[in-house]
Amino acid sequence: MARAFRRRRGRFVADLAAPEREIVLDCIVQTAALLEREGGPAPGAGPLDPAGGPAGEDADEFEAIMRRAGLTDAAFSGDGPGAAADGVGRGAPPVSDDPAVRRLLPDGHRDDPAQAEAFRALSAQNVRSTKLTHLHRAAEVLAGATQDRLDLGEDDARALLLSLTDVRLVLAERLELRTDDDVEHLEAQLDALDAGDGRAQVMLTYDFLTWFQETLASAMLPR
Amino acid sequence: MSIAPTSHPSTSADVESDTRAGADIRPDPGWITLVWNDPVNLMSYVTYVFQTYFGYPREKAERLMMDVHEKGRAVVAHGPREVMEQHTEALQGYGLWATFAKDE
Repeated sequence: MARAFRRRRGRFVADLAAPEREIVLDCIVQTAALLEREGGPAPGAGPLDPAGGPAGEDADEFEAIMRRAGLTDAAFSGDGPGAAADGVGRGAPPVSDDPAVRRLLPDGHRDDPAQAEAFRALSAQNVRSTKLTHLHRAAEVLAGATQDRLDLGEDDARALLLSLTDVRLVLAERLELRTDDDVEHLEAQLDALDAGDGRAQVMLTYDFLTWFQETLASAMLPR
Repeated sequence: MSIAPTSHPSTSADVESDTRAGADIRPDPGWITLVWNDPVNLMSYVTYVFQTYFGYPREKAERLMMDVHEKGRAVVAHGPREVMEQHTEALQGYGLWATFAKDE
């Protein structure tokens, strides 16, 4: 049973049962894997090597987790997984075919392709590296939790807070939540969920993570 | 109505004081950093980012957040291009949909 985050003597405390911790951890690991597979080479030699090699088996495991949660693009669009394997350039990393990755690493300039390209060459890897840093830290925090009580210092809480944003951006893209109206519609759909709907689990997960992040963000707001 | 937050003399000082590596960069109003509305980022979270990254007080952070929410975007900083690119990179690291542009 989950209990909201609250601030207690400069720390951030919540209750999250083991199955809930596993869901949050799975989502964080999947989001990190998505960034590690796409958007260029891993700056810090992350655990996944898109070119294959010894990390190949791990990649398969992540794929399996994503399929289980219905998070792969293929689960929704019917597209094969081939698109992700495009070559990695030396200058600006290629623009991903995956809209979720494009949302995690958006263009820096909306109107000028040359400026956007320059920004991608200089900054996209930094954005990606920043995200992988907080995703890995949040994953460590959750993987290391041995009891329902999460009692986090500010840095761990911040890593989790930022990671929940990236996770929700990916889930929202998979659910095609692109406007505020789409989210309103989701709320209505949640009231009339068909358990056989393949999207149902993802919708429930998204809704749970939204609640969980809201409590953490509110607790962390500087007074 | 302008989409930019009401500017007052301390605005650029707020931004400049937060450039970390670039405290000696002279103000140059030629470029802006924008944050665009999206259906995912929470109002509390966006306020948190504006308070902790820019060091804006709660009231200003909430006003900018409401501008993003209601007007679809807000100008969150003015200054030299390099600094606006730094802000864009940092805000994207937080998951906000940030871009930079020439102030026109």
